[in-house]
Amino acid sequence: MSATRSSATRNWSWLGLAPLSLWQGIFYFVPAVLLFLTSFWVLERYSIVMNWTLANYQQVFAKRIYLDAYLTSLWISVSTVVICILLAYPAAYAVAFVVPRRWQRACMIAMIIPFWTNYLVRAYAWQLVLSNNGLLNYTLLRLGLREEPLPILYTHVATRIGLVHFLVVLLTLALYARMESIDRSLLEAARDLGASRIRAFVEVVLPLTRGALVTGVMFIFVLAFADYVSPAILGGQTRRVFPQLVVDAIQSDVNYPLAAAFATVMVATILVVIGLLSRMQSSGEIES
Amino acid sequence: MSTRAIEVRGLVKKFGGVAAVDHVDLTVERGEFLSLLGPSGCGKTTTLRMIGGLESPTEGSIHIGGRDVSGVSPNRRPTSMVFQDYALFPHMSVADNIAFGLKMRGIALAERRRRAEEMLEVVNLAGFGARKPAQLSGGQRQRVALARSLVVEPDVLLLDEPLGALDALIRRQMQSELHRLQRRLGLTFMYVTHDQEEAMAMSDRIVVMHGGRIAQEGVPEDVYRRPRSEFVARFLGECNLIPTTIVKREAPAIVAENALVGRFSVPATRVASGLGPGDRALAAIRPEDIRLGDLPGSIPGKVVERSYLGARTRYVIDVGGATIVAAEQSSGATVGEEVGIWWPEDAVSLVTPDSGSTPAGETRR
Repeated sequence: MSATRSSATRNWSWLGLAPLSLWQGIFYFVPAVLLFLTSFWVLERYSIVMNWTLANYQQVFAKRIYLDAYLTSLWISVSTVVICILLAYPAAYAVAFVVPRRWQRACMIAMIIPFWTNYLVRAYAWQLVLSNNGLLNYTLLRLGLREEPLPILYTHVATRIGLVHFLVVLLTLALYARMESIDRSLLEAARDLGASRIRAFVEVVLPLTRGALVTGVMFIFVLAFADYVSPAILGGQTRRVFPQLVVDAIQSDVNYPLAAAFATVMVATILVVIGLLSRMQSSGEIES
Repeated sequence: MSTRAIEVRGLVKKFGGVAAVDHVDLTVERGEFLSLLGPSGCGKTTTLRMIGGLESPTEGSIHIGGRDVSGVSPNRRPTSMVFQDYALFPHMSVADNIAFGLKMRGIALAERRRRAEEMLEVVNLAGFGARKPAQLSGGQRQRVALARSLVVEPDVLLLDEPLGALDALIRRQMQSELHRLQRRLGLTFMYVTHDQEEAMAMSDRIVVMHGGRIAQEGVPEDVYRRPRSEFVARFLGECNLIPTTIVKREAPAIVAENALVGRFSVPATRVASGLGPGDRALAAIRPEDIRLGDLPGSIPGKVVERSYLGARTRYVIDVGGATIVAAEQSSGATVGEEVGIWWPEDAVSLVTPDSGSTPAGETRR
């Protein structure tokens, strides 16, 4: 009797998950499947025809400009991740371990506030700074450090500046949150046992923040790889990145199947990278 | 080489203008077990941390093994610290934790492993090397922390309330283990604690600290039996403190007076320095030195409270409005009984009252 009743209770318990599943299904799963399916169809006379084909994918990898854009995107996001790591670690470490406790909150708020500014607005603000007659070049020329303006705007150096400025705070926050919970006596113990400051960082802080690092890197990579704003506004049109191809395919060619193929390749890349990163995260816990 | 392991002169540490350590001088002999004893906030831990190099002094000097260590970072000092919360590296195995100091010294892996194994045996944890600190009990973690500090063969081991987080039974066990280990290795231990029993059980010498200064130092028995100040008398266990006035000097003793107990003399060696005729002082008598019984010269009193504590029975006795606590081995007296109390002359110390003394006639405990 009681067993029947308990199993009856259990049978209904999944209902609690229904709203979430429904939401996920309607707004995420269904569109993703549609996108995936569309990528195998073709465009004929400006309308989508359900002719199953791999032609779109062939284009992505066979056409030189598409492959170039893919590799450029990959390279920009990887280097953005690296720059963010190099900036976020010292920043998070300084706030967590050097800045007095009562100033820590103020420091973090100072880092977060720019993040609240609209991303587009920030990208345009960078234009003002980086253009040939912008703040940076004006200063360089005035100081006599350069004869001619440094061409930064409309290169991917500018793209990376925009991306790093936008994304570095995510990693800094993730690292700071973890570092803040590291017992200071661990660092003191390391120092006491003969470690220099740098060695104590490498032996204690680095391994203990690995999880936060991987999580932060996932976010940065995904956002940088899929970003359209920075490449379009700061990077210019000469060397296009992958998300720009998606926009081109939809806006100028109205070729949804091709755009879907681009998008599918992007999602697949992101999944592979996240998969690799999560393996790093879990293997880090087993290793001593 | 100097026989002094540590020599501290005029040590001051200020945090935001407030002196946590206020002109401390102390020496630790080689092979000595010295305890810094005091309530929280007395500056004992700060003193220890300055010796270990984790805190830099505002003023004063520290010599370790005859070498001035001012400005020397903790990783270059011949000291090693055992932290209150153990501070074991959670991401490393027990063996890697112990071998950490050796790794920092550039010792090869095989040698590191061998010495870590050896240390595990010294602290009775053989076979635990592969575990993570989280898989150990509090007492076991404590031993790992100890092994990690000992393996680097420090000249001085600094211990910051290392047994504070352990329960009473394991604590007592660890106390005797620590004591034995220190004797066997002949190492210099500097031990910070707020537990007077712990300090007395293990130390060769105790330095009692209060308000950033040294209140008294000496061998445990001396500090316990011959306190110099009200603070020390109270801090090292229950103590009767009878307000008295010093009447006269009668070499080699001093005569003091209290309205209830009359005049009595105290050997000059048991009188805090600076006390002279006319001064107010407190007569400190430990409860176990108070005897019950009608003997010539005993003071009449009445038992108002009796607690049987096993080895001893604690009596609270009313003596003309003041209370005296006695701890007797016999448990014969009952509540309400009229008893005489007395104490041997050499059980009394005359101590200086702390500032903000209570009015005369009231005995403080």
